[in-house]
Amino acid sequence: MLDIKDLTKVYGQFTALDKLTLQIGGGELHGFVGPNGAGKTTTMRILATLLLPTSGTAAIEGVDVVKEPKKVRQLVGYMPDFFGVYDHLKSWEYLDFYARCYGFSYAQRMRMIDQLLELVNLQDKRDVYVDSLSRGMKQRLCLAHALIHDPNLLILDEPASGMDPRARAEMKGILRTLKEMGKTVLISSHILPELSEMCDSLTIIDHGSLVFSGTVEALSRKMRGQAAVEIRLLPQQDESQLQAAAEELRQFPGVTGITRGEGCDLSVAYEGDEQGAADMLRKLLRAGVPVMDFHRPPMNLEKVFMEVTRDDG
Amino acid sequence: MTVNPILAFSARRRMRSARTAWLLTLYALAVLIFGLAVSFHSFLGDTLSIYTMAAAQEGYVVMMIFQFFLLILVTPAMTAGSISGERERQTLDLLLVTHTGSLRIVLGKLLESLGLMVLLVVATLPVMCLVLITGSMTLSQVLVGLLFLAVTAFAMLSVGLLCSSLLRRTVAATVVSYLAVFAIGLVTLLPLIRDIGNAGRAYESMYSSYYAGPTAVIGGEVGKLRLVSFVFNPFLGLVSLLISQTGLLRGTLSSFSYTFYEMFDYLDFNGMAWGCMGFMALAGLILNLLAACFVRPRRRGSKA
Repeated sequence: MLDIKDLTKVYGQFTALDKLTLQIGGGELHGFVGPNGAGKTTTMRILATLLLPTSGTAAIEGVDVVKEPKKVRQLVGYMPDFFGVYDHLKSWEYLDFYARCYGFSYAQRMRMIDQLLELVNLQDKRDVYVDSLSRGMKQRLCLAHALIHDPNLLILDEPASGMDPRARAEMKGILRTLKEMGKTVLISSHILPELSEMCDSLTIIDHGSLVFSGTVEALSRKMRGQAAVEIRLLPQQDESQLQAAAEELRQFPGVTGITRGEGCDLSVAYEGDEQGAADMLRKLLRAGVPVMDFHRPPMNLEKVFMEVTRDDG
Repeated sequence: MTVNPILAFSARRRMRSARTAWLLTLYALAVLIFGLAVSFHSFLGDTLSIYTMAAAQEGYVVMMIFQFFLLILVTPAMTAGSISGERERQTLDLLLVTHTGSLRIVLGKLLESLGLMVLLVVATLPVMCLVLITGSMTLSQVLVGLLFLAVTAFAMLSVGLLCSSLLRRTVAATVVSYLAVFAIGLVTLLPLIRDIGNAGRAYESMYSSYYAGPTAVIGGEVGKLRLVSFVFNPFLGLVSLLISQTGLLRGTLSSFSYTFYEMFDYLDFNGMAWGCMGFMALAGLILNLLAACFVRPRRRGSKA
């Protein structure tokens, strides 16, 4: 569906995109994550034919975005991160305007406008002036506009930014509907948890380069691999007992390091599966270590995100 | 073929804003008040004489010049925000990803502004037609006068549009387009000095070969002289038109240079006026085509 190869964009001295290579399959809801300035918007603008790459190629359904921009525009629906709306224009006219820009006939337009407004839950705002709509509504209207020409690929740049939780939920619902309709959706955000909840697969980029690309499960597995085991011993243990427990743990296969926390807390860096963790607990208990709490902290996506996109500077 | 959506919707939005209503009202009112103040007091008398006819013609001339400058004041600002405004409002990208081409966007914006300008000019038609009452001019003459104003507006709008497509900010585009209009007026005035010299020489040689007549001197079939500055400078073009329509302004022009007094009858004012309209129309078209090239910033390393 989407095939990006060695995509590079240089602005003067600044490299916004550095040899990005990425594939996205058809019908996928693909999250595109990275901190601000990572190159998400640049990538999306190149895909939307608004920007020329410095080098590299990108093709949508085999159509090159540089060589055949007109064909690509037919295939892609684009919603920018920042967009304006016209004043003195009603919601239905807003959609009518873009539908006319795509060259649809009157009958087609009248049919699709109502369908699209219904899809984004704005039927009752049909005759309301666009500039008086709330931010979330404008974003939904803009999403509807991106669907006018029935594109196969939707490129949504931060569609949920600045939305309240209710509006976000609504946006999620709409995205699910789009997925059911068979659309491929590339959706960007700088908030990983937000995307991991609804996306099938994820791409994380930082400083213009790929950090990770794959399914959400693959990401969890990868991150879980380095996850820790948190152990809390019965309080008021003396130092020797703590040392003994730590020594016991150190001998366990897969343990790469032990950190002392507050009081009798131990944080164990552990690369192993669930079975291994259970064995570890059994071993500790057999050795007579008074374990009060033994758990693996849930994968903190926020932390993962911070880790994978660590600022080098 | 459907109506250009940019044209249709920009016009719809424009006509919905209160500013347009105010502009239209104030413009027509300004022309009316100015016209009445300057010369139409002559209509208040109860007799119609050759003097009232002349006064009505004078009124027409003064109002045309007044409108000309009023349009120059209004037009560049009309289009200076048309493309840069879309950029600032962040709606241009949404347009560029549709099937609508750059030229269509530019033409839509231009025709929409031109429509408003024509509306302004047409709104003054009742006032301008007061001159018809005295019978000193014909309706077709008045209509040609308004056509001249419309063509001028077209050229000015095109200047504003090009600035708007080149510059990022509307404020900058507005300032630059006013400066550009001013510069164009000044630069096209420069050939006037040479023109006066040429006209003087033509007159002298005409005088020396008196029997051959002016036709032989100038060599044209029409036998009348056309001056470069009168064709390229919009204001001098307007003066040409007004002279060819009313025969007035001879004194004004002569006070500028005595050569004009001598050559007055040998200058092709009608031809120069139409030449000026042709030049402005052509220049406007070229500016619009240029503007279309700059709408799409794809090739440039624009900000991400």
